[in-house]
Amino acid sequence: MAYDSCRPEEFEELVIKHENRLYRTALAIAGNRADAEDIVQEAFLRAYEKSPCFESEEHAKAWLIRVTINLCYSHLRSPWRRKTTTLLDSYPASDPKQDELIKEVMKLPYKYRTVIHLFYYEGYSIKEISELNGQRESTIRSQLTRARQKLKVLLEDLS
Amino acid sequence: MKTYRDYMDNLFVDENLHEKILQRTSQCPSRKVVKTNASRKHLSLVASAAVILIFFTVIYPLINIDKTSPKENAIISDTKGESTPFQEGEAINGDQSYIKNAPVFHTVKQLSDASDYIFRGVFSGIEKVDGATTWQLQMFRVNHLYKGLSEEKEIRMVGRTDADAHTLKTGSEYLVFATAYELPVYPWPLINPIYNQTVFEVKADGGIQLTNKVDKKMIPVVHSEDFLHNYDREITDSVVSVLHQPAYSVPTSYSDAAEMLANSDLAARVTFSEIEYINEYVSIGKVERIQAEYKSDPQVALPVTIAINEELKTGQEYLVFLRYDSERDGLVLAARTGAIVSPTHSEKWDEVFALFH
Repeated sequence: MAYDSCRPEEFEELVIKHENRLYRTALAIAGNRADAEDIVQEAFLRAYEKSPCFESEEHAKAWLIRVTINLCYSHLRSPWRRKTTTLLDSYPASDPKQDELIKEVMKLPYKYRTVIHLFYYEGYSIKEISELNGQRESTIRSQLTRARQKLKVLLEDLS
Repeated sequence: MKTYRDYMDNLFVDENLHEKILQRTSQCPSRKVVKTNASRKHLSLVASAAVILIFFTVIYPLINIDKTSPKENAIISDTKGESTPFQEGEAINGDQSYIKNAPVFHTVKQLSDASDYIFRGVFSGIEKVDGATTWQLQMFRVNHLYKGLSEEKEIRMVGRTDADAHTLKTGSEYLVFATAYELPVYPWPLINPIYNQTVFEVKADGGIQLTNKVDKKMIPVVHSEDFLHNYDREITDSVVSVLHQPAYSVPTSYSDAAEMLANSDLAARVTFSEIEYINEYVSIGKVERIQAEYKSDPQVALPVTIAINEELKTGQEYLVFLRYDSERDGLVLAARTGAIVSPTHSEKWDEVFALFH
C-alpha cells in the first residue's frame, strides 16, 4: 500500500500497524517509558509532516524504525541527565529469569541494545541493521558479538 | 532470546498514548499537497519570486554583514545538541508527556536524595558562552552549601535562554536543588536544577518565594507551608553527607603521563582533518589519520570524531588519551587537562614518547 498523502484515515492505519513496534524499539533503546512515549509520538509526527511515499509495508516499517532509532540516539547522546524510572519499574517481568535478562540487556550500551533488539526481536539481518543504522556491516557484526559475549554467561544460565 | 521476545511481546501502546499520537498529528498540517499542472505553473512563478525576495532581504545582507564563519558554524553545530548541557524538552512545563513516569517529589528527603548540589546563594549575574545559543551560565555566590563538592564560593549553573528560562534578579538570594553532570571538555560540573524548576527565591524574612513556576504535581513538597518556612531545618535533617560526590565524576588531571596512560582505554597519535568550533569550551575534531595506537582496548575503537577542549590545528600530530564512558557509550578525553599532548610542549611530548617506547 502506498501512502501518497497522509489523509487521517490512512494515517491512523499506519499508526495502528506500527505503533507497538516503534514503542518496543524505543523502550529497548531509550530504556524508559517516558522517553519511549515521547519518541514514538515524535516519530509519527515526523511521518505525518514529511508524508513520505512508502513503496511497501516493509519500506514504511524500515523508515519508521530508522526515525525512531535516530530519535532515541538523539535523546541518549544529550548530556542533560534525566532522572526517570527504569523499564522494569514500568513493565515488571513475569518471572525472575525474565527480570534478570531484561536487567542485563538494559545494562548494555544503547548501541548494543539497538542491535540486540533489531536482530533478535525484529528479525533483521546484519546487512539490514547496517542500512537502518547507517553503519558498516562489520561494525554491526562486532557490536552484536560483543553484546552476545556480555550476555553469554547469563544466557547460558537461562537456557 | 525467547525470554526477551516474550517480554517485548507484552509491551503495548496504551490508549492514552495512541490518542496522543493521533491528537498531535491531527494538530499538524501535512506538508503534502496535490499538485495539478496549473498549480505547478503558478507555484513555479511564486517560487521564483520568493527566491529573489529571500535573496535580497535575507541572504544578501547576511553575506555582507557576517562573513565570520566560526560564529555561524557554532550556532549550526549547537543545534546538533551534542554539546548543549541541557536537553530540549526536559522542562516539565514543556512537553506534558514527561510527567507521566518521572519521579514525583513528595518530601524534602526525596528532593535532597535526588540532588547532587543543594545551596543557598546570591545570584551575581550571567556569563555568556560564546557559541552557545540555547544556554548560558548563571553565577551564584554561595552563602550556605547543604550538599555538594564546591571548593570555590562560586557555583556556575546551566541556565536556559528559551521560554523555560528562569527569571533571576541580580543580588537576590536563591535556594537551589540541582543535579550534576560531567563531561571532560567542560572545566566544571554541569549543574542543572531538577526539572529546570528547583530555583527558589529566599525572601528577606528567610522564607521561600515561589517566583518561578513550580509544577505542583511533580514537586508537591515545595508547595507545603512547612517547606516554605522551615526549609533550612528540613534540608539539614535530610542530607546525609554535606560533602557529596556525584556518582559520575571526571578526573581533572593526572600527575604524570604514566598515570594518565594507566587510566586510559586508548592512547594514539593522530592528526585531525577538520576542527569544528562548537562553543568556547568545545570543538569537534575529525580524525584524519592514526599514526600509531599505543594502548588500545579491543572493546573500543578510535572514534571518527573526538570532542576536544583545546585549540588545535588541522594536519598537526597530537597524542590523545581517551577513556571509555559507559554512560555515553563512547570514548571521551581521559581527563579535563593533559589528555591531549602537542609537540609544541616538547617536554611533555618527550615524556609520553619515552613511556610508549
